[in-house]
Amino acid sequence: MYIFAFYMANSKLYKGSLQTIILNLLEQNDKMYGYEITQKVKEITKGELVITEGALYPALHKLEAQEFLDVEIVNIGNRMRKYYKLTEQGTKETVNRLQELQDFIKNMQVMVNPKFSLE
Amino acid sequence: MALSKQYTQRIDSFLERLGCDYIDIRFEMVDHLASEIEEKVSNYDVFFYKDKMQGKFLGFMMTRKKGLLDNYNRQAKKLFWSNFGYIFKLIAKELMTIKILLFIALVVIFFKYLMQFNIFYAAISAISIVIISASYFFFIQNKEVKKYGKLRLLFTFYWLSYLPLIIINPFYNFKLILENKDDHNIFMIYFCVIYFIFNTILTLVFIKDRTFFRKKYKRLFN
Repeated sequence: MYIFAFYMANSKLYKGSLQTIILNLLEQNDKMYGYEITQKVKEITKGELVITEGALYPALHKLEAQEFLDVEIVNIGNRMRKYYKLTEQGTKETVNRLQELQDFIKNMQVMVNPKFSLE
Repeated sequence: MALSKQYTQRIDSFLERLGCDYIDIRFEMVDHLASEIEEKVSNYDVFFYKDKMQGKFLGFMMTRKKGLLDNYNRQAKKLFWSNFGYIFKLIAKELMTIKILLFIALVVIFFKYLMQFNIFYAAISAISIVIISASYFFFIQNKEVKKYGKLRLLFTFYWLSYLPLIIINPFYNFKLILENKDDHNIFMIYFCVIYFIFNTILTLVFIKDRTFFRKKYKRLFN
């Protein structure tokens, strides 16, 4: 499954959660760079979800512009690397978005399998 | 094992030749590609085929060429609009300050008085201050452009400052001023006063913000 704008029809299901995925990862790790984020997602989902650069970096820059992420440009020897980490505002936003996502999953489970609703 | 500076430079040069001019976008693309190569390739010398033109590196980059360019253009476009919003937020913040409101009031009153006195002289004065204002902004920006020119943010400032002049140019020009037609002159005065106020605030925002982007991007330019 590749998240890339306007590609496979079912990737739209994941498109809306990309920022939440990024925020959640950064909450669990102090700071990460772009390639590290793609590899972490691939590792956690066992290759099921692969985020391309075309989807990842615009999402990261948008979160940065919204002041949910702070950046640090570091010299790692022979090149520069941009690390992303959550701001205080970003940490609060992560909680909100995860709650929204959990509510969404709960509602979708009810819609898809009403027999298994816990309510 | 990390890629050597020479091989990293090969990636950077490829992207630059592809048209990825903005360094604040390009350096991150370089890091992403370099990280991918470091993970997947065991023998860098063979991969980069340093003695010859052809090599696996070229094939690796050419298969990604369209994706890289699309990615770059998409980022450049989104960054432009996000910078645009960022600059306008700073301008709005400045507009809330008393000294700017006072400045606007003084400029408006001055030209209102001058227009009552003589419209032609008011038009000439208005155009003169626009030229001085635009030149001053060009002068202070030029210093930053020489060092940080390939930053998307800088380009957005530049574009915001000069676009109104480019748009207005085909419609009104000096010839019409010299013909001394009142309705044309009055329009030019209003345009010039608005542009002067906007450009002054933009220059102020630029001067305050350059400390911020110099600090943020200094490592890219050292």
